[in-house]
Amino acid sequence: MKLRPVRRADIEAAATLLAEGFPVHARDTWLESLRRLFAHVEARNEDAVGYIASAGGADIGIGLAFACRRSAFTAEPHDVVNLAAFYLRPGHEWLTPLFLRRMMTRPDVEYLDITASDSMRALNRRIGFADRTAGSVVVPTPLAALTPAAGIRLLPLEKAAGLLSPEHHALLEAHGHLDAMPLVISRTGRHEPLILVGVRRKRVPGARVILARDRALLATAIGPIARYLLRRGLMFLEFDSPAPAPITGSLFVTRAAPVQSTWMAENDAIDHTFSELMFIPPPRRR
Amino acid sequence: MSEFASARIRRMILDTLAERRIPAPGEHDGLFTSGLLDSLAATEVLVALETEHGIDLTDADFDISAIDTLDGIERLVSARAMPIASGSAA
Repeated sequence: MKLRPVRRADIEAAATLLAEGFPVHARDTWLESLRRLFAHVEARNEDAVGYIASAGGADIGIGLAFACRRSAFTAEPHDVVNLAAFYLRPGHEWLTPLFLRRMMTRPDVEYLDITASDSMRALNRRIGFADRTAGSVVVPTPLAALTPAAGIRLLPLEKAAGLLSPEHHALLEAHGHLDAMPLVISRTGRHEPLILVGVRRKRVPGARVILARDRALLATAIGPIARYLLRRGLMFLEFDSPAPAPITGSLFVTRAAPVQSTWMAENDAIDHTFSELMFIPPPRRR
Repeated sequence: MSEFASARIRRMILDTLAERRIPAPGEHDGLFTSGLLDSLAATEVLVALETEHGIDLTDADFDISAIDTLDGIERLVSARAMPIASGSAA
């Protein structure tokens, strides 16, 4: 088995493999996701978004791997490599661990898998990943919208000039360009960044947390967040969590893929900035 | 004491197959390409090769097909266990 980086010249071959492995998205959708990913990595002066595996002169599989610099809530900024959309053609599945092992060669970075299938989760755990969450907290916004604001305001980024650090502001602005919702939680003179992205559950539109200082802050600010989402027709908020959240009416859905990482969590922050959640549309959950 | 350099990996494979009520394969029968064992079992073999025998899986020259048979695994581990020929520096 040989691996070659997925570069711009490989975009057609990559889209074919991805559409074959993940038919939940059409080939054109994968092409668009790949273009967005290339724009992201090229801004980092990198040129590849993953690897294509071949054997006997034929392509047999693909795995996306793309890095970002995480600094929003970490003591030391570090690179995180998101592994995603891993697929090997039938008959070649047993090569998965070697493929993964060869993708994970940098000891200085955190490897992350947010959407692993059941079988991939078990395999990941054997090669150095650990589950960092146990499920998703799902908060129906119609009920949560009745929660008092407690002096908290939720501001769209364009109305929060100068409230955040330049780094946080730039991070939110970049995610606004990726169709996310860049927001600022404002409370008694403190301002915290919040990024949400649109998702669907059982065809119901909602939002998932991409960036938040911690889950306690989400619980505290749930009233304003729910009202913001409800005004936009978004019926729930979801965020990954190691445990159920103390939010009235919330559910804890454990069948969701846990966040798996090769590094210990430094704190309770949620940071999926520049992850696959920003580049690949989620499958429609039934 | 087992005559096999890969005794522990061999035992692991045979135990996994026995748990699944699959008869022990021959030395040259495919383990993974035949579908007898899955990617999780391949993971166990590769982790053992790396951690117990120091085989570098990230080496592009590592030939994964070697682990598809009991004989191949034995050859791989035996070759690794062989002392490196010493020679004097020029």
